[in-house]
Amino acid sequence: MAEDLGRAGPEGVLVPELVPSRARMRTTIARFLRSDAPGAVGLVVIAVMVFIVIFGVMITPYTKDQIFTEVNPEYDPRSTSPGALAETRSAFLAGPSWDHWLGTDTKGRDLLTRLMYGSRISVSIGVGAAFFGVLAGSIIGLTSGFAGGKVDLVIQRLVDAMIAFPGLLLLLLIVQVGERSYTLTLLALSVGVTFGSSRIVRAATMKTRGETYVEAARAMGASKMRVVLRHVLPNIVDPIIIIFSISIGANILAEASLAFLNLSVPGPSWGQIVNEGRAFLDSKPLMSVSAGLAITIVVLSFNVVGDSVRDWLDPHQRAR
Amino acid sequence: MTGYIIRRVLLNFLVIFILATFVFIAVRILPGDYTVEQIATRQFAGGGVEGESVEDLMEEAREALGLHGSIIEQYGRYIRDVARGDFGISLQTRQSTISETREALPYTLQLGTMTLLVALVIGIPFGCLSAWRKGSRLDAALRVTAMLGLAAPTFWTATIGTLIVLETGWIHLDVLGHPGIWEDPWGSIQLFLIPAIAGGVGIGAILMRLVRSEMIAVMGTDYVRTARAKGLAETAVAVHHGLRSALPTIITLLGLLVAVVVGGTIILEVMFNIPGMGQRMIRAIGGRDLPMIQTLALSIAVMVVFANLVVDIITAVVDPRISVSASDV
Repeated sequence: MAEDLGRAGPEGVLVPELVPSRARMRTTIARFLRSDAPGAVGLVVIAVMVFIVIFGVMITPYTKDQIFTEVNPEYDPRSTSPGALAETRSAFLAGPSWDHWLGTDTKGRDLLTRLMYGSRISVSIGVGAAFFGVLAGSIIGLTSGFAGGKVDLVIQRLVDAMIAFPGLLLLLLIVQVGERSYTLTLLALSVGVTFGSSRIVRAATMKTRGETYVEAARAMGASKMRVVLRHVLPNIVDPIIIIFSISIGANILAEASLAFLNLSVPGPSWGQIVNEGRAFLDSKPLMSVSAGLAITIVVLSFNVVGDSVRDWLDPHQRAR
Repeated sequence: MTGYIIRRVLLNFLVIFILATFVFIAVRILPGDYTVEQIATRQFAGGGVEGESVEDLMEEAREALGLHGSIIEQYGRYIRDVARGDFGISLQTRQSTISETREALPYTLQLGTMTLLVALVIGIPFGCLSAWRKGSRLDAALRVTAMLGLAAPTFWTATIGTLIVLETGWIHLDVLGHPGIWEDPWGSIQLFLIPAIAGGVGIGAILMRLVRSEMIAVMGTDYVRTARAKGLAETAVAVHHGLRSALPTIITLLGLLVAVVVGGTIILEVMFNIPGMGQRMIRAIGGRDLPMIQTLALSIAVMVVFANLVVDIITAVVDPRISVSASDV
């Protein structure tokens, strides 16, 4: 039983167990699955998605740029029309088959393979931008909230201005500075997350700053850096995790919008696939529809899990 | 109240100044000479004067673009021009960027207004309904729909909407004619309807979630219980006591959503060939038309800032507590 309460520290003092034991982890997860079914489903979808992101490219027998051909139905060596001279032609928007589960795209490439490559771009940028954006936002928010006074005033007016920018416009302004690349898209989306999250971190910091334990640490002569890192930061981790998990879905959507406008990473990004298929919407809608569905499902899962994380860490919200 | 409004207006000018600076930096991060070189070679290809080198042309182009002198000088000139309302000439169309923007504005305003209307029509009634029937199957279905509306990308819902219209022929999409509201009201509304619905669904979903949680919170308060106890009809309680006190929060959110609506119109204008500010922005980015990018970005940002100002003032009127307690803003 002593194990549950804590373990003996080096001096024989009972130190509270901070790392949950494996058994407790299991019951926590089981309770989570029972109490929050949508969150659990979302988590499963995300797990499948992560599997596809990592292994999908290894499972598919094709590469993303491999072009497939089909027998040319108009083949006629005596014909004079150029379309009828070749025996085969690229499989333009072929329907689903055993070889190509979702058919081929406008250039005769396997659509499912391209969607799998696209998942790498969407998910990695979505999560990456949430990470870097919230990291930068936390640094700004902590500085602003803890320093207070003039520093806070100046930073907050800057943040005011940046928040007034419509999200997509801010992204466009950043993306237009250079060639389309992964880094540039990641940077733009991170900046998009930074200012909003800095607001939340600032508010949480200001609340913590007035607590007695912070005052006590200061009175004991702790340096500002130490107070921030050891006393304030650990107490505002929850809101930071909440904004991180909630912004992932929005980032994936924003990346898809940029890709749709041909302003994101070059390659089979989901938004770009929707755009490429749009010209043939009335006859062969599968390409646009499947890529759009992929975005919707992934964003939905991240949003649902984000909401669950918020309910979990901030039960006040759930009560409403 | 007056003091509050004056403070807000002054604050907005500060915000606009910062925005202008940001736009200046964003448009100038890329070495200006890339653009200048392009313009110079274009002029060169178009038959330059004998003996004139590309170097001279580049110097001329720099002057024309305001890219000459040190970065501080350029910034000073830029701020002065912006303050005067002189935004320069578009490199693509050779027209003043401000008149281009003025031509584009009605289209964006129309699409934005229609989008917001769709969002309100979806968000408020369904949010109230969801809160009223909290915990029921209807509530669950509405919440799932809202989550779907949040997750589906606007450009995709618009694509699906177009697909349906193409199949059924319910609406005539005059994509090539892109009629304005004054010339051909009915044609214009038909063209704008699908994009407005596509954009409005996502924003309506955000609104609906907020209305639901606000209404649930308000309907649990003591004064609502008192209103019920004195025998008021449930709808009267919901409208006069519930919605009335949830209103400031809803209006505040609407203010924040204006930026989202405007951002969303960019992509929808491109899709439906609506010659608004968003479509021009994308075209300007494609052609590296710096003066045009600068003017459009700044005008959109100013629009959003002032929409927020209006919303703040309305909120202060609706909720008198704000102008009193916000004296530190």
